[in-house]
Amino acid sequence: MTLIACFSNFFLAAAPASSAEPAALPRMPDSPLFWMPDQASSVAAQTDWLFDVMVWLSALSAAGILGAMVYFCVKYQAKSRAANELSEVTSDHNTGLEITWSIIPLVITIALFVWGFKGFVDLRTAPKDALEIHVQGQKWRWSFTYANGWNDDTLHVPVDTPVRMIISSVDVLHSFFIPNFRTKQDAVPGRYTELWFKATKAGEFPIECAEYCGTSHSDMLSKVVVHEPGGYEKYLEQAEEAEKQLPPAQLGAELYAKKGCKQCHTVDGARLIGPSWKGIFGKTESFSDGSTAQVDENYIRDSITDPQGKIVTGYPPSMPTYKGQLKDHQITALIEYIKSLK
Amino acid sequence: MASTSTTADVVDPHGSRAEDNYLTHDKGILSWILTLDHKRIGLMYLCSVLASFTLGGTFALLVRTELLTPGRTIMSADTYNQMFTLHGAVMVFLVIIPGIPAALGNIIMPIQLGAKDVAFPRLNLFSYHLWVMGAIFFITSMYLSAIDTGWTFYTPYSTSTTTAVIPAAFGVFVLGFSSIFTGLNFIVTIHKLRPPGMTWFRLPLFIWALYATAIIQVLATPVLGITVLMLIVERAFGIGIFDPALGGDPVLFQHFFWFYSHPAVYIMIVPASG
Repeated sequence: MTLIACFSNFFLAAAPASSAEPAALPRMPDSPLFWMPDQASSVAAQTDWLFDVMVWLSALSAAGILGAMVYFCVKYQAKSRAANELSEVTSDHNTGLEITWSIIPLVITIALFVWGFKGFVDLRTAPKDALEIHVQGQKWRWSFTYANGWNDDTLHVPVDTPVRMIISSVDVLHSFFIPNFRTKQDAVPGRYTELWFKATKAGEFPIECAEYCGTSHSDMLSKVVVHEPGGYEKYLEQAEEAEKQLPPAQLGAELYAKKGCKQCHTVDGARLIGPSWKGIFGKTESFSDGSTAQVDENYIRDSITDPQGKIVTGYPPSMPTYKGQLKDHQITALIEYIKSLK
Repeated sequence: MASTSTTADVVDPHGSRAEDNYLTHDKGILSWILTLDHKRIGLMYLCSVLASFTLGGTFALLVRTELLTPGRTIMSADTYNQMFTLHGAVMVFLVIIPGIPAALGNIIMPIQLGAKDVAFPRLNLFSYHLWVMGAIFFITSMYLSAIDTGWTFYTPYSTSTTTAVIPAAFGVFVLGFSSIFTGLNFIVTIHKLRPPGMTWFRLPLFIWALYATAIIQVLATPVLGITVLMLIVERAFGIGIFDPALGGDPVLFQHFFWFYSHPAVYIMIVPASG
């Protein structure tokens, strides 16, 4: 392991440090992983065990077959042209051998299938009393909704409790993937999919999108925070209270990073997918339908709840609606934040 | 082998001098473009596939170069998405699918079988012409429209992206026909042009492999053709097949797509194993 760590540190040191590391990005593994990330769920050990068995069996078979091939090539090579002619007594068949090398792999395959199927059933069947959390994928963020209606961009779960995730998507295919839990499921627009897990370690683990979904697919990251007993309930109580205590512009800045705004809008005047927010308040914008309007509180509110209603000339109509996803005080906070960007 | 003498009677290279073969063949570019000789067609496939391989490989190198450092190295996220789409699509549809069956198969199969040529030499040439037209159309349209869907064209991304999916999907459709015709040609050749004595169980392993591949090509490729046609129809006329907003189902596209693309891995591996 130390050797691997040395190598990965070497490569990390050689690569230029990425300067624009936004604070809201979830913590990813510190160094490139050589093997699997740490196991942190009840199914991880089983999955890894089966994977290891398959990898080592394949490696062993490959080595054995190639070894035998090379050995035979050397041992039975023709010493001369004459020796290369077909002999009258060449044997072409050995029933015993053929049955042996058919039956043994068959037994191995059936055993792997039985183990794999057992694991598959475990992965698919959530315990009845599981805690339910909704997760919605959209370009390019995850949003989690808890039983009390609280909505967040990070997943918070209690340790040692089965959690059932109900997964949906508002635009294209995404895939909800928690590497440390060895669990992954597509998010499909127009239907619900689900997965479940029982976290076995408290801590923070990355969440990734594992189905290509466009420009910022690789930035569609989040994290799961696994709380010690009691911590989850405390999180739900505190989250909403804390937000209301903040000055609106400051809350707006947090929402900007948290709710996926920064994926398309910059605050420094640079162009991304949508117009930059810098100095936009008070400006007169012209739209693709030919009309114009001044950017004021109501315009911003409409643009958040009905983004397809007015498309600024020269930009693609790609913003999803945030209606129902942002509470009133959050929209107000965003407006105040945009005002502050002179 | 007991069949050696029988095979020799049939494949007599000196007996067919009056016909079009490698000894009497013309020279010049037209003699290649209009050739009915399976070896020449195979060679042209080989060159075209290798050219596509170089192109696809270049895109792969660009992708890896971009991944050299975290963040932007040489291209934007959108360009990166176009590069891996081009890489995947070129490598799958223009390299590994025609690679062994069309190129190596055309050169070797009739010779190993003991036939003078494939059963339908004109269809064989047409397959190649179709392939070249499809390939040029496919690459040009993907490059010009900067398509970014990945080689799988998964809906609803492929129905909602602003890049031009329709021409690229049509390119896949045309290339599919080339593959179907080659498969058809090989099946008939292996069935009907085996010389006396070349029984099924005396066929070389490579011919068996090509036969299995040809069956997959003929049975599975039409499904891909129909799927991309439906994708085109959905994009062009807004008919809801795969888009949930129109009452369709994106998972249906995945099922249709993999109905071809799963067998397609055998189009790649079976002739190689043979």
